[in-house]
Amino acid sequence: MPIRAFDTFALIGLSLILLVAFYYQLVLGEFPCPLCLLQRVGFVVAGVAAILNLTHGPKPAHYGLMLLAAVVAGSASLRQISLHVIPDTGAYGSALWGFHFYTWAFIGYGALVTYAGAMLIIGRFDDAPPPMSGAARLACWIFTAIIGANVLSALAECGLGPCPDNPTGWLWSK
Amino acid sequence: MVMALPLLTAFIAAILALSGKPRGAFGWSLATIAISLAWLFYHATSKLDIML
Repeated sequence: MPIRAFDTFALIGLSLILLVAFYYQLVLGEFPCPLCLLQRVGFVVAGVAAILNLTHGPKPAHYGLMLLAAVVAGSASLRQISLHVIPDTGAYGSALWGFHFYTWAFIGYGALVTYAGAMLIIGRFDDAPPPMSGAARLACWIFTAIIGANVLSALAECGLGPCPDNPTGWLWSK
Repeated sequence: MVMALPLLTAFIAAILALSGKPRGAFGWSLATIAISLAWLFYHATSKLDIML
């Protein structure tokens, strides 16, 4: 399977992660805290790296970008795990299959680091970008639309200032 | 402290990547990571109630 097919699947996976986060926010009313938003940003930058691979050909620098995003956002998720790791310190948001989202995010960044490392080992990097499939193009645009929706959502939740530590609603509902 | 800023810079990076400007997209992505790092220091450097 060509390396770009892997990147297409990775982009679809990252889109699903962000859509699940949106579902919990918009349908179940669980608004993202500042650390939660930073974790979303990590997945977003990893997705931009995948878009760069798909549009301009796979390059080690793009996987390096993915690694940096995973390390920075993984630190945010580890910090949030640390806030709640002691018994009786509560948790933020609801759990999915026994883990809270910051734990899932940390697992996700581990998977991203593994993926980027594997691609750096098995990938063949040439200068000429091969043609992009229709599915890959669609995945790129859908992911970009999800980023745009996240921008609007963050503005509607936090405005032009810092987000509250425990957000409970949109700016206009306070 | 504009929390939407790193999402906005990432959005610009994605648009540039799709518009055939990989260098710009890469630069904005790096800026996004730098902003995230700054926000992380702002939100994640208070003392934790744990002892290792």
